[in-house]
Amino acid sequence: MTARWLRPFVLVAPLLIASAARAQEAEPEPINDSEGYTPPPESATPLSINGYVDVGFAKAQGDGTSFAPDDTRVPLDYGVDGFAPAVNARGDAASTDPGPGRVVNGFLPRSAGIGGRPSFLLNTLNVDFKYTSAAAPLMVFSRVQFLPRFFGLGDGGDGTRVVVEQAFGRLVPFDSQELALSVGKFDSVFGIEYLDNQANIRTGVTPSLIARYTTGQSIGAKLFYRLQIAPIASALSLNVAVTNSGTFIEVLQPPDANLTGAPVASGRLGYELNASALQAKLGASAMVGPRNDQPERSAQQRAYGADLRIAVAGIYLNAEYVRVDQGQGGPKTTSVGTYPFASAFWARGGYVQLAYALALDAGPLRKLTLYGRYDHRHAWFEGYTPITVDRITGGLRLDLWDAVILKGEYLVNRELEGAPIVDNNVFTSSLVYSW
Amino acid sequence: MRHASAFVLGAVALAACDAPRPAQPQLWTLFDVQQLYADGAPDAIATDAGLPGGVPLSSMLDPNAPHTALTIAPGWAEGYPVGYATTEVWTRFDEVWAQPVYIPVSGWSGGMPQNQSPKPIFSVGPNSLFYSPYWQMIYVEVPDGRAKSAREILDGKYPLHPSRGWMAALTPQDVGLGAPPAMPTPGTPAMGTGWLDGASIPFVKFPAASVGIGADAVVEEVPIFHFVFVKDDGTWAAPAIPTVLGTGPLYSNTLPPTDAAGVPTGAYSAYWRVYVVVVPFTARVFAPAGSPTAQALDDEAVPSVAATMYGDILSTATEAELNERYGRVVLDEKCLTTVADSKPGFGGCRYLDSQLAIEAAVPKNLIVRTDVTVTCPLVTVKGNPVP
Repeated sequence: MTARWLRPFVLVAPLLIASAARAQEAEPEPINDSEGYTPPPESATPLSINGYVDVGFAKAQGDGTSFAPDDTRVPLDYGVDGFAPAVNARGDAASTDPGPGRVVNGFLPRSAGIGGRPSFLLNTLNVDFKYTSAAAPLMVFSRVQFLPRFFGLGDGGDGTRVVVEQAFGRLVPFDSQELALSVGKFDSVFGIEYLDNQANIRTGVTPSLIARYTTGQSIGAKLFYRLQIAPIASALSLNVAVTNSGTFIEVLQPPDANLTGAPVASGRLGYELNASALQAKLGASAMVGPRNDQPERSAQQRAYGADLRIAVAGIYLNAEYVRVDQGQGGPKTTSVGTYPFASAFWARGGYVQLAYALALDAGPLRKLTLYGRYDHRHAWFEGYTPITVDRITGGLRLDLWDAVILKGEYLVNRELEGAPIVDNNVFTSSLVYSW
Repeated sequence: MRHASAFVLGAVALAACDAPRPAQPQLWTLFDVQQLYADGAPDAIATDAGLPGGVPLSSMLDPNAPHTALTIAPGWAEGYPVGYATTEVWTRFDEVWAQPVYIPVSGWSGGMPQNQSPKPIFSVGPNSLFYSPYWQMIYVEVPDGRAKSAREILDGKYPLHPSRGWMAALTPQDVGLGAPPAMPTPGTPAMGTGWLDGASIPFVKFPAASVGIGADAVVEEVPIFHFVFVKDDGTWAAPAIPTVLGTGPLYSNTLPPTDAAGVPTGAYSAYWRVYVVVVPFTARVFAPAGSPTAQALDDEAVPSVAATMYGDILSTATEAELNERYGRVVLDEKCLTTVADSKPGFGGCRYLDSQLAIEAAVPKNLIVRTDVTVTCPLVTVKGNPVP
């Protein structure tokens, strides 16, 4: 099974290697080099509508979950990594169905509902509205996403959702300063992976194993400031936010209401080197405040992270590390339901992603990117067996014209310690049309 | 910009105003109780969940045995005196769950496990709120000692044979039973050592305890009744008099677990929901002056609820007969005339010493569900080890 899905990539790899020399002379655009969502510069009209459609095809091993068939521990999701068999850019797992008689406690991603069966998916229909005021230094942006889903054969039924993923106004009060204040629902400010949230931007198909802690949107206020240091082609940036839910993804901590009455603070301090041959970005992030999956203010969560991005000669290196500590809280409430308790929780993890982008001019093919990522995650709930997992991801991305992206990747999920070993590798692909 | 800043500052300032906090679910295991003793902490736990005074630490670990011996508390089951241990206390848990425990066996023959290992492999430890001493026993065909964790069992894909529920409390290294009975029975509690995530973990098992496991691994709860009395100032007092062990959900008329002779066995549930029973104003406690029960009433400042009429009982009853009556709540003390008339279950006295008797004599609104649940396996029945 594994070999069959990998075969296309094995065939393509020699071609990539053969063309590598030519690539050194190319000057490809950075794959992703923005401070969160940064709408395009001034457009001709004050209102613009952009978007994309992300169509996927995926096949996961086993039943599409990370649950071992004979595992009856309660709760089942504490002893495995339910996020491992991801199939799309949103991190949806092939399945999260624990099966009859088994109990989970809300530490799971959204489900694509396909189990272990190969299936086409309409991952996202994304529509962005942007309005730029002519009379004020104000930009208003909203991102609405349509997410057609099926609950799965066990539960049955339609699980389609419409999500307002972002909706904010951004003030840039000084022409002479890179200072922006945003209020509304916006991207995380933690680390760098949130920059890749959208399928039309992300290098690969699926998020990392730590994306669940750092890439969530939330409602609140955000301040961004960047100081250019031109003589050394550098810049320092500060991005801070106070929000309802911090930086966890919505399925773990609901962003649309503050359950504790106290905000979560987060921020990133960054350094950029923008030399002609080398671009490098370093950052340190932190997040602190009450966890927003329960009502107790005393149940604090803290996260610290460090990130690195280097772009040189068509090679892109992204790396990130995060450490998460959460105290025990009261009854747990997530975007998908209520559960008995919000257990104390700790996680340490990170990833390294290496991509090589080859600019081409071969008919519709504009760019070819080969990428690989290594994820490692160690996590434990209070009193529960700690688990250590890792993941090896390899994939290929083709950029066609300026409007179509075709990506395919294979995820090798491994349970190293604590969690039972299961067949939960995934082949997944994504065809993204942008407008 | 100025308005936006004010908005942000206002939001943060408002957030600083504290709001009432709902109480969290809590679990106390024997590990916690021993630590509380060591820390010199207050002498009771679960004090804010509807049970006046909470659960005294001394009702779990004997304070006179350097906090290493389980306390055996008195109670009534269908009118019979019983003794039970308390190994876990939960507050604000709507339900607790049975966890898998794997029992290595050398094989499976005729539907029976062969050469059962004495070292079970537990799956969840006592620091988790999902821990419970109720286990879904799963026999696993694996050479003894080869697997020491749930992961090793699952990864090995060994043949599994799910079996019945089983009660065993994980314990600190030095905690166990007091003096063992002279004539142990199959139901006698026993100490042992098993595995948890590859490490050795002591436990005390209660083979006679019944563990009902429902859908989604939820452990079935049964009521246990604690008596409270209304003091002159209107507050409740909960003196340390024997509790009453129920047989099933309230008003379900569930039959008790009895042997062929109708005598209660030890096969009562070990998982109980505490209900407080507000004792009717006219009821009294069999607590003659100088008895331990009278002292318990004095300690809670409710000496007036002790019976005052004992006829010739105190002068004619044997010590065993008195012990059989101490702490019983009698609806009308006028029946306390002779040993024969006051004999529980046979005389003319109506005691509140069974679930049926309580449900029949106490109005529904005076039987109050608390947010406290406990693990209380029976250890003795009528003074003898559970069979």
